[in-house]
Amino acid sequence: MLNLEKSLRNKHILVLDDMVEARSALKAMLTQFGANKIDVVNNGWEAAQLIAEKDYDIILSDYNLGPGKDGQQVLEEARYTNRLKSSALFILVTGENAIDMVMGALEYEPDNYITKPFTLNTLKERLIRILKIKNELSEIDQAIDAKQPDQAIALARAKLAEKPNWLVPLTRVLGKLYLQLEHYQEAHDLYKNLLDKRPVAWAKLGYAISLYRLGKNEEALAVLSQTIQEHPRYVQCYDWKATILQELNRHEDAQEQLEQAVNISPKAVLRQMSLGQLALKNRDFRAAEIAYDQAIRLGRFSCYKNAQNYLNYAVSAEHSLINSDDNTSLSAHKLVQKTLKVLDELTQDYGEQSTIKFDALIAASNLYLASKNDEKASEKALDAISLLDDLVSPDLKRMLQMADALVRTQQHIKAQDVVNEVRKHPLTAEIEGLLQNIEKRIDRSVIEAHLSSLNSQGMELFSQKDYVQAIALFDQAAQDRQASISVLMNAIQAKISLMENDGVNHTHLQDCRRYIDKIGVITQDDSRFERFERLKNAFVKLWKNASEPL
Amino acid sequence: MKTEQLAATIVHDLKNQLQALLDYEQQALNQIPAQYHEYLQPILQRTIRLKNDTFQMVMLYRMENMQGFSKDDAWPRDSLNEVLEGIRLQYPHLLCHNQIDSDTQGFYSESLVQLALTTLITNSAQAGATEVVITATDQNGLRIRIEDNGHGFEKSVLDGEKLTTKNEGSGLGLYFVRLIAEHHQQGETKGQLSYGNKPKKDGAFVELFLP
Repeated sequence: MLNLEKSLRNKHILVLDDMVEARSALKAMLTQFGANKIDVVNNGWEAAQLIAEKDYDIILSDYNLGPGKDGQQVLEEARYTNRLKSSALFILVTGENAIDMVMGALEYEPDNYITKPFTLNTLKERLIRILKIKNELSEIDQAIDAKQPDQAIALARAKLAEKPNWLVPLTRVLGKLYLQLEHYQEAHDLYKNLLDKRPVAWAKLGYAISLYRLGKNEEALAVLSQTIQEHPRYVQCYDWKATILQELNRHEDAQEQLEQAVNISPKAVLRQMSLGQLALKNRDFRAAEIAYDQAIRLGRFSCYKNAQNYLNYAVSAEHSLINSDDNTSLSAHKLVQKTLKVLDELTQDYGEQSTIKFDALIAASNLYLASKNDEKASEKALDAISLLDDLVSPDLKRMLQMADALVRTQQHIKAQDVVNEVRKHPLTAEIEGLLQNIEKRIDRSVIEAHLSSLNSQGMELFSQKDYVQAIALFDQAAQDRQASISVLMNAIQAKISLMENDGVNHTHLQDCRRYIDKIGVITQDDSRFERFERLKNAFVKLWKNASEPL
Repeated sequence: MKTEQLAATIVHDLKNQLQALLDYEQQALNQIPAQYHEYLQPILQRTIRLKNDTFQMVMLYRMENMQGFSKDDAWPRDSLNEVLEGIRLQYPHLLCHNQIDSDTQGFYSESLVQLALTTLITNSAQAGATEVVITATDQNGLRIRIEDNGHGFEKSVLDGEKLTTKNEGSGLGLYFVRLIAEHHQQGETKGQLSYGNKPKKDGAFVELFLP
């Protein structure tokens, strides 16, 4: 017989219950059994903090914790952040009303359950049972914690041969290990063997997963559907159905599965995120908006808080607005206000990262545009430009987003500037494609008018012998891919005049050379031939005078 | 809200209220002098019966709707001990002997099997038994056997003509226990309930088989 007192002494135990009587009763009982290191908390949030800081051996958590996180979420977070060793015990305490609803249907399975109400003796017997199994499995758990899955498998197989009564708990451990090591055929056979004797829900899921991994998608779907019929609240089955359906390119069916799962278990953040992503892919922006709204709300005080959720929410809202028939309606107005608040929160919480600040501004600009507030849209796009310099260069994707936002807000000249900046970098085929798409949307007549205005202002300054200012304008105009020969010549001329007055400057010399190359050949019959020859000669002279070779 | 959701909410509250009632009654029993216990005991007994009735109703509903009760590895000795704590409150003078070995193991829905055991032992008490012995074996499925020293089953019950030997209660106890047994199915093998009288008319036996 297991000695409970010895087993509990010096173990770090966490008791989590929102009801004060339940908390102190449980603590008193555990103390009576011999536990001497017990922490007690009354809400999921504090529990998550404690679990993050301290290694617990045993956690006893009530399922229903009132408003906020429930016991399932505490467990989910602890597993997600790898704060629970395999050798640790997570015991979910639930009212007998909830036990059948909860048992076998939780995506993050606790090690065991205890049903409320319980007496001192019942709790004692239950703990002895649970700890006895845990002790028997301790070598296997240690191997898992030491990241030696092969060793853990060997130990579990040996134990199974020795104790056929332990088929259920050992299959559970072994199945997970096989799936983790991608030994899908072994996992398949193992689960099948258990299911022939014991129809446990998690084994059906494991069986379906191994079928899917072995490429038997239809069979896997059938097993999952049947399991859902028997255990309609087993949300993980919906998740896997969605995964398989996506593989089969049935994205809308997949979304429907995730929506069902979310209805059953609305508090799981990760699933809300997957649903949002899938809905965006399916261009079901309303569904995406709802899912990301939940993901933000649920993630706010958890380890799942994530800037991308905020941005995706804004994208969903933007497209919902574009798709709505009447975006001047009250509901549209409310959506804009809500999204702006979401973006505000994002900037406040992640503002020290300039990329996120930038993304938030672009999102705000797009949102305003969708709600037909062009003025605000331009303003936000302009605010974003100043952040471009802070980006880890070259962040070409964000530069393209910037150019896109500028084109959308009719700021063609600034858009062209950004495009010119992007063109200075080597481009992948993907970026090239996106860039060309933006270039096509830039209004050339605006650009040409601008270039000619720059050119004439430059000429005016040049005639006043203000070469520095003139060069600034000509350079700007010359940057354009389709800059005219006369602009280029003006730029060369201004630079040469400046250098003849103030001495040679290498940057200007290099610019001159670049512009000359860009102009290329001018034939003798061209009226600009003589001017070009003069400029080239002047350039060569300055070049020879340069102290360093070019 | 759908009707079934409404019903579920009401049943949920019903069970909570009954549990609260039980807690209050137990508290009262602990604080009131022993000479008055005879007045509280029947109230407590009725409350427990109401609670079991409610659970039976829920059980019927869930079986009807194909929502299975999750089964898991379980140890009948522990399950029975918990049941006996309740029985002791209800029938303080009934002697119950849990002779199930600690390692005897089964695979069943603990809440259902506990309901079955509660029903069967209550039957024994109502049939005038003063002593109940419970044993179990786990070779080729789990067999839990309850023997008592009461007046045994009437011939009409054994012949299947009548469901009950007593005039109080719904008289559906055995019927429910059979349902529970049959709910535990393993491949082709279904759970079973068998019962009869011991030789020399010195009590009844019931055996619950869970594959």
